[in-house]
Amino acid sequence: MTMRPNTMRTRASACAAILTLLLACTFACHAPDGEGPDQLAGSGWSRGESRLDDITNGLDDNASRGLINDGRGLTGAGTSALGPPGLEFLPDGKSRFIPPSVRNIPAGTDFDDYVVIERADGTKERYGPEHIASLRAKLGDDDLGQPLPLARTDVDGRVTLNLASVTVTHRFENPYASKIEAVYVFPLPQDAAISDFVMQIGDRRIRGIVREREEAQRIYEAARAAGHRATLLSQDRPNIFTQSVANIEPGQTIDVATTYFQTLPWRDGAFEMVVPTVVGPRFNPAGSRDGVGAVAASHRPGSSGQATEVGYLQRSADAPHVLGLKVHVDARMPLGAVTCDSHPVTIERPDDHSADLALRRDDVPNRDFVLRFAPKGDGLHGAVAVHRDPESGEGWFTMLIQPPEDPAHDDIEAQPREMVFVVDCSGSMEGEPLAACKRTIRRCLDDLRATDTLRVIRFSDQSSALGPDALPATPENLRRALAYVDGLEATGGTMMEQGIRAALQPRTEPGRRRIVTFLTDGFIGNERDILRAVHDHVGDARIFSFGIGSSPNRYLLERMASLGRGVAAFVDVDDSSRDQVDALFRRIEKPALADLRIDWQGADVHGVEPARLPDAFAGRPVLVHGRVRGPLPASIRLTGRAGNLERSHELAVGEARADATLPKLWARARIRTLHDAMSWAPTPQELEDEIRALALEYGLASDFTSFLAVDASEVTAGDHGTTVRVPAPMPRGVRYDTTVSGSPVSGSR
Amino acid sequence: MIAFRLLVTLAAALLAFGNPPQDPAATHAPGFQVLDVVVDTGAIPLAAWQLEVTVEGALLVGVEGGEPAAFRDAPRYDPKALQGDRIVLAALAVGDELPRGKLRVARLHVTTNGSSGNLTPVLRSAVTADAEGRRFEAHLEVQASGEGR
Repeated sequence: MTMRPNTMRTRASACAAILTLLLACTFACHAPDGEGPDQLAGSGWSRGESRLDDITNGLDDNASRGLINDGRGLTGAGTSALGPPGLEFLPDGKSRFIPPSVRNIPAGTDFDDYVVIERADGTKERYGPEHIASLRAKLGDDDLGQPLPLARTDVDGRVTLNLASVTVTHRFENPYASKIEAVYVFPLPQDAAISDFVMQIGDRRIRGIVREREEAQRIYEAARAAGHRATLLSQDRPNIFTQSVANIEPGQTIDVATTYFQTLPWRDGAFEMVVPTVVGPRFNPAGSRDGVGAVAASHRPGSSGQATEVGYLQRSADAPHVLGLKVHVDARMPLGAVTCDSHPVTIERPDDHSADLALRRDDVPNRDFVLRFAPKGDGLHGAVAVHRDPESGEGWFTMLIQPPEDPAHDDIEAQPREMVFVVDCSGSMEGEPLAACKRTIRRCLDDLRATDTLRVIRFSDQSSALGPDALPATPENLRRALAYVDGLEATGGTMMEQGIRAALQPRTEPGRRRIVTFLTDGFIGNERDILRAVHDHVGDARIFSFGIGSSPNRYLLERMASLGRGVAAFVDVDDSSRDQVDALFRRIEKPALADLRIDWQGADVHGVEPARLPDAFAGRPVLVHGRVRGPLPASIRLTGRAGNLERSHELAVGEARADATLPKLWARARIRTLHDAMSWAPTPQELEDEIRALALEYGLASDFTSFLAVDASEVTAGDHGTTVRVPAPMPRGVRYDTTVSGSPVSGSR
Repeated sequence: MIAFRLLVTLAAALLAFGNPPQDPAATHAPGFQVLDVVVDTGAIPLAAWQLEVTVEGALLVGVEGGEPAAFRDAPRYDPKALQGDRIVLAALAVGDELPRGKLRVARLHVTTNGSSGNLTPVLRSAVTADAEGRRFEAHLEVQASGEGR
């Protein structure tokens, strides 16, 4: 059927609507690079008793493809390492495939170290752990170890002021001789508003649609069965997602680009952007079925019995795929320091306001990427950005609230405190994480006041404590506490709920403020149980969480701190974040304003998130999302308590226009609140319905909505083939043998 | 014994005769189809377009970009409209080379419940604009492409 525009029922503002919609598009869309990676694909395997298991080798791309496509049964086809292409069995039971293009791999090469390969033309290449892949998949009943289908992940971030738009592109390649479905569990920031999802096949780009989770799953399965290429993105936790790509034909490449928006927090003198790259191995209590299982990559899928499952490769150097990352920062004002302690990066400053940052080389995705930048000047003074619907006038705003320094603050008598330190001593904390934990506690203990009391609680399979009651912070008791902390060892599971109850349930001495500091990697799969326990027992206590390690569960740690009206900080195992830890502990000393309230001065403001405001700390401004009918007021009044005194500040509100990302960010914040509340609500169905409706209206991924893209234009031949699950490397500093089910000394992970 | 086998065979044949082979559509298994968005701009270069369309019996499962390089990126859709079974799409050309003439500017990938025959898209509104942001009259249609059945 056809229509001509002059006969159509068009709205008068159609052109404006186009522009509005398209403005949003331009902010959201960064097409993935079309260039193929210059990378190494790995192949090889070792022989177990009855099946092929883990593998090591460094091969060039063509060589691994040659192995896959030649169709020969390679098992048992042993030849010399120095001879023509073939399979070599090594003395330790491992084996490796020597590609046609490689003449000489030195005998006795340690594959956990560096490999020098001399090519037929005499050139030599040195492959380090970052290149040597441990890639294996088992197709059907054959016993061939094969490279895995996820070739690389590319992250492209664009930051304007403190609003980030980040596109994460996963490149799936099928190196096998038959069709496959690739399944990959990966992390994203817990507050990411995922709003776009594009499947790219060659130069064709198909934008995904948000559908109810079950409906999307049903359609995806039907498309897979019918031979259509399709991809599905489902949220398993606010920071864990499963991506499935169906009907990838042999030799084919499919890129899947996921775009999210994020408001970057201001932390201790700088905006901070974190890109997680790996899901840490989670512990799930006995009886749990809705957790996140951690199993050896060689295990049969589903062996953990959990709803979500990640397979891990044994050695930290193993790289199932590589990570590329670049970020453009436009501060819209003179830009000060730009730093990245987590990765080796290049930083260019094209002008005074901006910076371009990129990884120096492709890296192993085994730790969080952390970027910090700050405008020049004396810090942050608060900011407001508003987006208005052009038709209704309804506004969505985001506001950074930084209470001014109170000159009288230092004179205010500090309230006596009960300082509680809760230490995660489970298996995943063994080694560097627990050492980082101990360093952190020592620094905190040094800063206790004589009027404080003190408790130290440890938990793993069970919880125990320094003593039955809080101890006065005398020098003698501080020495006892230090000795107790020094003697802590990590082993067993992560029964965090016991630690929470031990910290929050006992009565507090009247007039004393309880401050609980959790030190943990947060590697648990039952986050809802933990948040419910915190909600039920927190009372008037304040919670500060220190996330320990290279890739902690930031979702859990941030939400625990939020429920306890405190803040979270993150401590890497290499002590690079030491200054931030010290800064945070100084903040705990005296919040700028506790029990914060906002008077909107008569403006019609509603839907403020978070509804229960955290305490405001110097250097940690409060971020608020909300909606407004009509104008925002010229100023707002902040009221709170400083020490035992009521304090009030009037702050000017300068309204700056922002684009259509703000409604999505507000909806994401609202969904987060509802999601938390589902943990303890007696009838969560209403909350679930509200989350689903919000996510569908604003086009967001959630627990109850998924992104789906189907290529209905073509049907691939044959059935949908084998499902290949992409394994993950171990997070840096985390031990495989104490965290992964099926490892030699693993517990019930 | 032979008579018994004959009886069983006859009974089976009768049963089969009474249950003709099932029409795949009658099982209501999901099917997948493709609809093309085609615009004829005449001599005017196309810089942007927007449309609203409804397609009874179909659910949108993907939006693909068009053939001209300027419209290769997949159009944006309004998620709120989808809740009312309306498909609202918009696209803005990228690059300096704006196409003109008859163009396939987008492709809609849809799923049906298997009972639908030919889909009948109903165009509710459409707008086309030139590089200056001015609306101009163009012939626009949404049609089944015949692919993906």
